[in-house]
Amino acid sequence: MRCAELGVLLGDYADGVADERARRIVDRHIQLCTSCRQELLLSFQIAQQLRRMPLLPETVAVRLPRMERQIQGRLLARARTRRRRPLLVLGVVLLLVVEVGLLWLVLYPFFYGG
Amino acid sequence: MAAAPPFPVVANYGRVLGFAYQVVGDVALASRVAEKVVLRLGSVSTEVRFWRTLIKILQAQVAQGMVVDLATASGEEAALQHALHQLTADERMLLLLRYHEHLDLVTLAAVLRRPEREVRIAINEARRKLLRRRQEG
Repeated sequence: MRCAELGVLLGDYADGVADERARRIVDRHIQLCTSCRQELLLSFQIAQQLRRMPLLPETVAVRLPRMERQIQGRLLARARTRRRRPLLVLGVVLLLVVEVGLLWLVLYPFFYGG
Repeated sequence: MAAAPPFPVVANYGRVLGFAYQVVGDVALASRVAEKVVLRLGSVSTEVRFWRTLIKILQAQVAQGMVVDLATASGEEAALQHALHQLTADERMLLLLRYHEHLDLVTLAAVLRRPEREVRIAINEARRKLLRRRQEG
């Protein structure tokens, strides 16, 4: 197989997800092709480096516990507000019912005489 | 079909922050992204939904142009990070998800809502591009 055709097979091999047929093809090819062998080696290395690479600068990583506490606090505060919301809605509805009731009491004599 | 296991969101805040930082290049921007993810998902989610939400929010940031050049890293990671930041945001996310976050191809395909074969090809191309940028120095 030519180098250009190897494409995804080489990538799968580097990732450890190549099936047996693909592994045989790549193994045979890299025995003869220095450039693909080199690419495979570099692929392994870059995958390793990406796995080990710290994602955050150290100056930020040290602040992480405090940032986690802050976000946890915000989440709890939001949960508390959400729990109060149904009570607030109930309160408003009761108030409206009482007001409508009082209005009816006041206006009843005008509509029904007596 | 078995239910997906619960995925603790707040406990993975550091991962979110780090991932976002590598995509948008700035700690303040990354913090905002991380906060949005946590507030949107709450304390528990599923792994696929977690990554989908993070990617969606990051893509929105990138679409608004809110990406800055990563501050110069030091040490042996400097060359790798510099090369990584010459890729597109989507390519960076793909490589980080596959290699740094150890997502397997099935999960990655589910997160990205793309066929597995397409994801394999995309990873391969992104990795080769990273290799080329790395060698260019």
